Amino acid sequence: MSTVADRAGSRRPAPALLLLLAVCALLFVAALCVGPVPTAPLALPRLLWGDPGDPLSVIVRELRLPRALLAVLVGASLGLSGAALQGLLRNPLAEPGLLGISGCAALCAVLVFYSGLAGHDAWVLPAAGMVGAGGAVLGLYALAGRQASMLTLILAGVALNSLAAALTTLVLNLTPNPFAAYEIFFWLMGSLANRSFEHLWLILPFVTLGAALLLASARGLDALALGEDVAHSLGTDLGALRRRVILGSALAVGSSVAVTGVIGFVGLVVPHLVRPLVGHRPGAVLVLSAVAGAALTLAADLGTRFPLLNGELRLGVVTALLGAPFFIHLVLRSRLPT
Amino acid sequence: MLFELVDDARIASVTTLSRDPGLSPFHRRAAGLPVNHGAAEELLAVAPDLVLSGSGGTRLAERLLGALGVPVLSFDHADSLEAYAANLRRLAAALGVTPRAERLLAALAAKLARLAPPPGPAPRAVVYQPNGYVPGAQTLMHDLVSRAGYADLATELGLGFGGFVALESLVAAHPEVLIVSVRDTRAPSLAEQLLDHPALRASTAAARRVEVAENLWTCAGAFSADAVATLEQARP
Repeated sequence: MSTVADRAGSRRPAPALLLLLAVCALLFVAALCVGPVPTAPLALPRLLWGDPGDPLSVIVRELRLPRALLAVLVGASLGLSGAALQGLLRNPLAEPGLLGISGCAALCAVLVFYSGLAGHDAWVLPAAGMVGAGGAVLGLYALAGRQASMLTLILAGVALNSLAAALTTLVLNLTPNPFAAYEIFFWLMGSLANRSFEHLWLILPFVTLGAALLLASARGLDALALGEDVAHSLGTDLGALRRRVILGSALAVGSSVAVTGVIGFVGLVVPHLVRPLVGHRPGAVLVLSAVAGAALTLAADLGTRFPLLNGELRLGVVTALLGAPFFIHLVLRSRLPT
Repeated sequence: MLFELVDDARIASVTTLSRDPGLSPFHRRAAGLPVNHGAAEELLAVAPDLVLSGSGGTRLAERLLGALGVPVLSFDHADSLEAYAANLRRLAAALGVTPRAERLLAALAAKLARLAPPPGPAPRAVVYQPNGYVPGAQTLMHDLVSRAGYADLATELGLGFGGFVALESLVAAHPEVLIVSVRDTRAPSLAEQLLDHPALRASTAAARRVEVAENLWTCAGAFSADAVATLEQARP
């Protein structure tokens, strides 16, 4: 694969991948150490494998470890899906959050969670998220059409997003539980706080399958980057490619949102950050986006742990603070004649 | 308090909150009575001789009623059984049923005396509410937990009226007993799901988890003795 990249004049992805993996590993260790009860990195092996009755051990194993692993899983899903959608739609602003895919996943998750349906069987919750995410992509195609311009697609996403957010709020207001109304922040702004291994195991198979589908579309996306006609003459089945990306995104993002709420901008920012590292082949961007997405989500989740007056910052707030200026930068750049 | 002191015939209207089975042990009686939402119009419509209000009540409605010549008797939320006794005596005097109040209080004191905790070290306990809220040292829950013979961690955590305690900090404080309120609910929430987190189960595995019905100890009453009894029986 690297020889193809060399011939195409792109830089090698391997050193960049190693660098990103190292950053990810460092952030992972930090995620196990930082919290209201600080922990020394050197004590980690003892806390992870030592006496399970020790309170510090419980904190690291049952609270911080699943949280960090979920950050990796969800961040990788968002990064991968953002990169694949940007490649498929040939639109630099495509992203599960902006396009309303995450929002619709959250709406369906909220519907089954607060109605008590999710209590019947564990898989109902991620299934609802996936149905919502898949439905959103189909809805986008119906709204904007297959050959949508950049602007039409984003507008369709904005429409879908506000509708999903409004309906999510409505559902939470209609729920008889007095706590439900306050949980709107979780669903619209995302959080990894107090998630457990149960949530991790719940989404792991779906995220793995979705990620595999998205990674398998690398070659097709590379061909598509040269234009639909060229891709067709190269033997790419565009219908199959489209189905793979849609299904992959629905599985990975939909199940993730069902346990963490909407975490915006990761899928938007990450592909743009890694693109200069590997040249502009959408296929090569995929793997790096997954790792960078995991790193960004780990970093943002660390950012939520700064002690505040009223508990933790929301993860979506941190990613939006990082991502929104970047989005503005992309908008400004798209205004300039190129 | 009104439910404890008088029969339904003397009650013109009750707050909708008293119909909530999660909050009120008298929700069945309340279901048969007219309700109000604390609005002055609703209260004037039933032409009461006396209006009772709590510190959480609607002040504006109170002022309006005062201006219209309907007497209003205002009570602070009882943060201990002593405060409850004072409130009950004041209400009974206004209603002319002081002997009934004294009988109730004597029965409560006798029940509590039977529940007096044995000597020895008190187990360290914490009351953990949905969303990680821990009621502080100046609350009724703290008073009841202390009466049942526990050392309430709220004091150690420096909580006056109460506050949110991160799951991590709670696990680090290492309580021997975890006390949670339970209410009958078919509508789940993330806030309540927190109480089932595996970290809580792992950290209090050796200890116990005590469940108190929420409507038994949200407000004070003669039934508070039942909350103390539940807590006392569960003590390790």
